Amino acid sequence: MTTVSPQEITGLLADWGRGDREAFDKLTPLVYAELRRIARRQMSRERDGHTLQATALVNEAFIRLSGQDNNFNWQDRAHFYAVCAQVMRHILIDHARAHARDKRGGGAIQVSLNEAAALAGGRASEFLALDEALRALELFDQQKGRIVELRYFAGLGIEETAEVLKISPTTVRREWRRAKAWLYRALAEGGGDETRPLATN
Amino acid sequence: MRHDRWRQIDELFAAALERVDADERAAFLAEACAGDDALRREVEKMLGFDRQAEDFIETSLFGVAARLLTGQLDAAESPSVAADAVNIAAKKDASRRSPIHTTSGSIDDARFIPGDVLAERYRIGGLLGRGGMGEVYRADDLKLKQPVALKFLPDTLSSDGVALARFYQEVSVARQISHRHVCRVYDVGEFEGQPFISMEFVRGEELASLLKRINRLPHDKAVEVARQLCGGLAAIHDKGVLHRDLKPANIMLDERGDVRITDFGIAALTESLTGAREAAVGTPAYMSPEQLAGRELTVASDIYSLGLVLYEVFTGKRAFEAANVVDMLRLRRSDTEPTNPSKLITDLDPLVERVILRCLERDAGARPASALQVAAALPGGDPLAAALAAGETPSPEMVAAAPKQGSLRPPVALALLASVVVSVTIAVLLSGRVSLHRFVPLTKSPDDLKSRASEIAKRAGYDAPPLDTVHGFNAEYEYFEYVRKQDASPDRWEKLKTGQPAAITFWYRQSPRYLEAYDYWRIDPGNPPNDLSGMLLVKLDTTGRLTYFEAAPPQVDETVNTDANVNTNSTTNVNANANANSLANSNANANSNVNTNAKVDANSNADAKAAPDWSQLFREAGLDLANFRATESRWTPPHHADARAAWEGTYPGRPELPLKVEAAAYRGKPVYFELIGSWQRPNRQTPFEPSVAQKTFATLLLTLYFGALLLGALLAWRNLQLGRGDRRGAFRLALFTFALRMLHWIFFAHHIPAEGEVAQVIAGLESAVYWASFMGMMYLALEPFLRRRWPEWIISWSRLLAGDFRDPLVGRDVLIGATFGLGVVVVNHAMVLVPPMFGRNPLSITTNSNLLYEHGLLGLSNFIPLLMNQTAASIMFPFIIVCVLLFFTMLLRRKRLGLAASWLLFYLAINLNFGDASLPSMLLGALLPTILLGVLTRFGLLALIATHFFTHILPFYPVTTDFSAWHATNYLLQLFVMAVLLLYAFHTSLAGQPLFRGRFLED
Repeated sequence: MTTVSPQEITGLLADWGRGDREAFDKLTPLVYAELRRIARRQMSRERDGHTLQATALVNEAFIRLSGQDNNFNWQDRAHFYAVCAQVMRHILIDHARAHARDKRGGGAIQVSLNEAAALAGGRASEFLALDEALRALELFDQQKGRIVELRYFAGLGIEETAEVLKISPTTVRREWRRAKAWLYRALAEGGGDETRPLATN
Repeated sequence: MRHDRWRQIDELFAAALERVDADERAAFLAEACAGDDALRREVEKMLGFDRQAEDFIETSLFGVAARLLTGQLDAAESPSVAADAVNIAAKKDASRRSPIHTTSGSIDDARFIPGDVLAERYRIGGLLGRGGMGEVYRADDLKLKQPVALKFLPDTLSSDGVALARFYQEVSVARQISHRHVCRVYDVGEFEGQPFISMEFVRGEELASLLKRINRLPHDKAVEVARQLCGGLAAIHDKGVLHRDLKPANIMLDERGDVRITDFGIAALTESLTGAREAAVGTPAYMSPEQLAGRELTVASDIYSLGLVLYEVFTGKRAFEAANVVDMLRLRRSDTEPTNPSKLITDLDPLVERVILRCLERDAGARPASALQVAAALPGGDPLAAALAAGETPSPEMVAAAPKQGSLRPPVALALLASVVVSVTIAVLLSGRVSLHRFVPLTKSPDDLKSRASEIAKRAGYDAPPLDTVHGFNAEYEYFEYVRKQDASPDRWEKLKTGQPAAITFWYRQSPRYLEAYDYWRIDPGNPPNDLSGMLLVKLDTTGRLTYFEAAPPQVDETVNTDANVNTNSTTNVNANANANSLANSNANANSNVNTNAKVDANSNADAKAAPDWSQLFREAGLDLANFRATESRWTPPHHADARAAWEGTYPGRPELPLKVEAAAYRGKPVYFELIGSWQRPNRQTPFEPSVAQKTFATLLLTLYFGALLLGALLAWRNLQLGRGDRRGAFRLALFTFALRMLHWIFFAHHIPAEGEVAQVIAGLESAVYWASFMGMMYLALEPFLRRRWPEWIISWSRLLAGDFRDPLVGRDVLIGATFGLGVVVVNHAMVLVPPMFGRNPLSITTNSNLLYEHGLLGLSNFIPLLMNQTAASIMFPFIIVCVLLFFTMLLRRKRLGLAASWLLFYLAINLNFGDASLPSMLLGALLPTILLGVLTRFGLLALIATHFFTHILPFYPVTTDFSAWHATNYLLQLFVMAVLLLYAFHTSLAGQPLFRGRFLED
């Protein structure tokens, strides 16, 4: 594992903030590795009443990667959350894809032996459908997409999401509500239908 | 779909969402989509999806992602965890509904299945239930190996930071509630972004289902359940938490049949989060009117719900019954009152019915003030005894709600009142033989004395009108002690009646500037010092004879030429003059005709450097210069003087009392004149040489004071930390003390129209704040111990502090305090009068409190400060007794030993002050600590406070039998206050019983 200096991370966050896509691609594996390491340690640590908390996890990762304490302004923290959200989204989608593959391929017997797994497999595909719907939504309305990403994949609250996106919490609440309705519609009306509004042309 | 079309739909969708009202929304859409039906259908479709998607993806996936990160979630393994992942994301309602949805349905659809382990700690045992709140699971705490209940909260909570913070706050308070009838809350946790509460798992049955099964509880069991409910609810309220959703479904009966209240405090929180949509069916049936109206909830709202629960427990029927929620709401809003319980159950205890109906008063103020009052009103209820038996410290409210009725039977109350009247009469009659002020001729009022003092000043050549004047009285303790020790004649006190020498003096100060006391607002003869030119201090005896005169000469001598030569001359002149003076004195010795000499001296001196006409001041002092022999002046004047003189003689009519007169003048005007008795010490030059006893006393006092402050602060802090301290009581006491001290300051301070007044205001506030904080702190420190050990002593005190002036027990204790307080006065008089009857000691008298001279003689304007002083002292003093008693009891581990040690300490303290070592005085001295401790242990703190208050009704005031005397004003006012207090106490203690039953007429 390559070690990265906090300055480097800060630099990448800053670059990404200026719209440098490459910086994000460089950031992702770093963040992924760090999140993984911290999560492992937390899971293995036996502590009274301890639970793995998403927010705690991201915060700790942020503090580690950004070097020290809280000298960072919101700009950096906001970016970091956004990175985390996208990383999380990738992980989950990859996981769901792997699961769906397993169902079709070699893992089939194992799965058929277990009803619960079959159910989960079914849901994995729904989950992929959600991701697909989200991609479609992002094409129409990038802001709604990012709100869903931050709220659903990174577990941010309304306020935090508002800070990351630099919009008012009221706007987040309104947009979030409509984004949900659109996604719900995309899933409820099912795939393949030409009339569904989120289908890309 | 095209991008712009999508944008159009989304914008209209947004605008439609803004319009909440359905009609308005329809009208808006009709107008906005005019002619484009397809567009309108799309937007309406979106509105439909919006309704369905309410819970959709509200739970974040982060938790799942985090677990994936650790590799613990693998695609092929662990189906249940995989199920978890999607469960959280997509709680699917059976089959048809949307795929990724969190609304829960049947029990099979539980979020967790038995065997799941949450947070590596809780193993799910099964779903216990599901309510408006969320799901409740039974689980095993794997770490502590005990069963717990885990309550998950609505998903919306986890995404709302503000609500979550409030939720944690609420739980952190709820965690502190430890009561055997309240279900313990242990902790909060979060599992995959889902907050949950872990709490005590109560094996048992909900009261709701029990009532459904067996209808109503048997009467005795119902009373027990009711009392336990009250105890539990009181414990919740005690921590400042409201239950907000008390109903049979939230009350468990454990395996032993004991009540456990659950779900307190959290109900409203979740309700506000989820909105009316989640309001559980049936809850409106137990809401208070104010809760239904959406107004702010108070303890009284819970009391209302408690009343509804009790209604059901005792009658087996709901007070309000309706087929569904809508009907229930309609019923509750119709102001229908529930059927009287006794109509349903004929043999219901009327006490029970009364307390239930009181709980169900529509006016929140008319309901019982606390759950404990409800318990106290139940048949045979005494929560205080129950709390003590359970080893708990009762709360202040519990103490105040103790069912100690305490009203007095009319004959007893009348007897007490009569004994007070008798004691006052005896005390007033005896005071003529024991009180200093009754021996001194108080013939002239302060106003007369004041104008006489200013006359003297004018005649002495100080005729400039003063800007500011202050006057007052002082007791001459040195003379008093002299008589007590030196004069053994039987009529020694009778001699005081001539007023000369003065046992009480009047002092008068005038100043060309405003008099501003240094560091304090109390002006006295020495504060501020008489050091500004033109300041005057005149002291008179009570008949107006001069005893002391002092005037500060001008700083710059205006009569002298500024020429240096003349200056030298004037010095010589002064010397010459001094010589002339001593010559004159020796002449006086020879001729005994100083009078003429002095006059000649004054007249012959053109530049007025000679001595003034001293005979004038002698006359003002009621003396004849002819009877005095000039002698060498030895007492230096307090100010610069160019002439000094001294004489020796005796007090008129008292040849055994030598009298020295010292005088000094500057430029022919007297600056100093003083009558000096042989008892008088030169205080200005006496070095500070305290005796061993004084040193020990000072050290002890300082140690005690600082020790008490430090210990008090520590204890108060600790009691607050532990939540034991009675914050409200302490605050009220502090506020009351503050008011007393401020009133005292307002009426007593010498207010001036100058900037110095600001400093005075600050000094007044400082003092008031100090005393208020001191009392508040000491109360926080001390009261919990008292409440834990002897709560029965502070029942009436707690009620008074809670503002319950009409309580019979309060009246009873005040009346009893008055009886004993005036008894103490009689004993005090007896201690003076009785020992001489046995011939051992000469008759002594008492000097009374200094307050008598500071305030008591000064008329109406000083009545309020004196009363404030008396009240403040009366509140503080009993706490000192309690403090001592607590200290000794804790030290000696036994109440009896503690009492004995305290008794001994008070006995010594009192007898060192008053007693002479004879058997009668020792016996009488033993009465006082016995009365004080007896009143405290038998009747409690408030009675002791009243005792102290009434004990000081007489010593602070110029008691007299001549009600028309100028000094009777304050005394009469105080008698009036006493009468009002007594009548109030008498009336209250009867609690409405008729005084006369008219039996005589019937017989």
